[in-house]
Amino acid sequence: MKRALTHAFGGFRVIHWIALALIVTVVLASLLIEQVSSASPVAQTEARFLPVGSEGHLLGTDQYGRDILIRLIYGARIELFIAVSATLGALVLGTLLGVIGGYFGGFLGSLTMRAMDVLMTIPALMLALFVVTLYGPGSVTLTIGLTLIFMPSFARIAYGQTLSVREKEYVEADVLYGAKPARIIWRTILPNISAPIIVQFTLIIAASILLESGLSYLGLGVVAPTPSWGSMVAEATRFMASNPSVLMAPALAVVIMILAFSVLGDGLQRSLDPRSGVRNVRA
Amino acid sequence: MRTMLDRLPGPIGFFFRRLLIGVGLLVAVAVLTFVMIQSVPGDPARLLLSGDSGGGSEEAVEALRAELGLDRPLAVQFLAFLGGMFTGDLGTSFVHRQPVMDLIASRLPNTLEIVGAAAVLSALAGVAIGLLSAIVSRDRRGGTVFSTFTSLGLSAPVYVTGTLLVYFVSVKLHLLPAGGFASWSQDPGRHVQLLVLPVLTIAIGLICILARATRSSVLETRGQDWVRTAKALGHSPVRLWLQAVLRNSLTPVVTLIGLEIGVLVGSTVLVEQVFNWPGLSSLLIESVAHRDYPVIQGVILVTSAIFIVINIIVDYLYGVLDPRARSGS
Repeated sequence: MKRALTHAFGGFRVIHWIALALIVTVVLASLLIEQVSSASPVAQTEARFLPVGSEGHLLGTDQYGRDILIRLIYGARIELFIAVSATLGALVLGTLLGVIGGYFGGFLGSLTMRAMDVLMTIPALMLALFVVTLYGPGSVTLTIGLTLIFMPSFARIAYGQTLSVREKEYVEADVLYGAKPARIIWRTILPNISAPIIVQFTLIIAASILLESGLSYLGLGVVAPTPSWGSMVAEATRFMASNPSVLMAPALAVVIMILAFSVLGDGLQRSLDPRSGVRNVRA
Repeated sequence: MRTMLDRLPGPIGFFFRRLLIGVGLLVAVAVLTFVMIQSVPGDPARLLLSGDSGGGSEEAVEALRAELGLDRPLAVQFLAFLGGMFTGDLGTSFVHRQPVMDLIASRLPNTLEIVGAAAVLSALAGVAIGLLSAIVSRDRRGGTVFSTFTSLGLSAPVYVTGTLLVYFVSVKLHLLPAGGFASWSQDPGRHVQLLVLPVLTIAIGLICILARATRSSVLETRGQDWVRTAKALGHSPVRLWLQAVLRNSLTPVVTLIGLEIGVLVGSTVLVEQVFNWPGLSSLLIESVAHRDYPVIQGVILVTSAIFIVINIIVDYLYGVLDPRARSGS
């Protein structure tokens, strides 16, 4: 375990540690907020548009007198929950399809990859809107939609990696020992292709946040009054001339969070997978 | 069929092979959307009527089912849909009771205008910035500064970039209008004015991506032996960089443009919402809210078709830039 950790963080520079610390802080804050503060993210009060730095309201309040920092933290909870669970779903399904396709190859392999091509042909936002149209808005729909959208990128990596790993002598040795395919995949292939998949996991979380907050901006993501960063930006635009800080807080939060995950992905890549080039993932 | 096409020589054979794959992909997208719609519990006709005026009678539901063609067997519905797709008929909107094709055709040009302008601007600016940065500084410090700025541009969602541009450029500095639309035929000057911010919003992110790809590709190319040879032979710097290094570095950049087209269409929908630009965005939001399946399905098919066509063009350019790639595929 210790060796695995030094391996994962071995290539980290200061900037990557900052990103990791930031992510851990936000995750902890969003999990523990109820223990720290009893302030509601949705209840309206008379204290409207308090400026940044007000007593008891570090980032001020919005047009309904709700504390902006509290809303950001509750927004982070739902945002991260959807992004992480969708990305996990995409990782499991995509890796499974890619590894099976790559290991058995032939018709099965090309069929799987052609199916992924079909999913990748549809612009991501359109696919997300389609899923929301069919099943109605809400976090479950969003998670399913994002899983579907990001599954192919894991499948492609897993497929390509499996193709190269299965030619290696140690896989051949497994086969000669009489190991069953399921065991070879689980014990030999998966550990050897995990590095790029872990890197991709971090980058896809960033892409999920990007897409999810965009849908919330359109009013088609998380259902109001649950706070979400995208809808906070959308609501604040009406008051941006008089109260720009209400807009800046959620806008910066989204940018910083996405940046943190892509920087973390970069750090993991330096440690785990230093030979491959810079990867960009966008939704 | 396959072998016959494989034997066709040169660009024509290439074009037909790619077209065949493209049509296959589009049919698969159609199957996928059709299956997904069927997977939804409930009857669209009933759903539609319950939306208007407190639920419809059985007769009304039956009449609507017949009108929308939902009473036919599934296989017939699918074949009719597929046949319609290739003749430009994408069905009828549940809400507007108008052909989906007409609805899309009235909005799509405005969206494509932004997509096209943003793509051209980003390709020119992104390649220029990437090339310049690779010429000026190739050391690690230069790389860090460069990647910091481009990461920032990559991480900002378009709706945030757009809103911030409205705040600083329109609200604070009063330089450009905050949003709206004027048609080219009525007021070309204002049309261009209103186009600037949306196009810039989308271009910023794409410029960062393309500049990154260009920089790393140019840095890789300039280390090659033949570049040193060209330099030793006394080629002028302009010829060396533009003709030799840049041309040989463009292949990954061109591929990236093709991949980004899908993202570009999605970003444009968000940006249209920021700037009240009358493209696909408002049609989509309205259709999602009213669960108007045929419209969304039509938009998916049209945008996927655009994605496929752009990628056929990109693959062709790939062959033009690097003739070795053509004989390979």
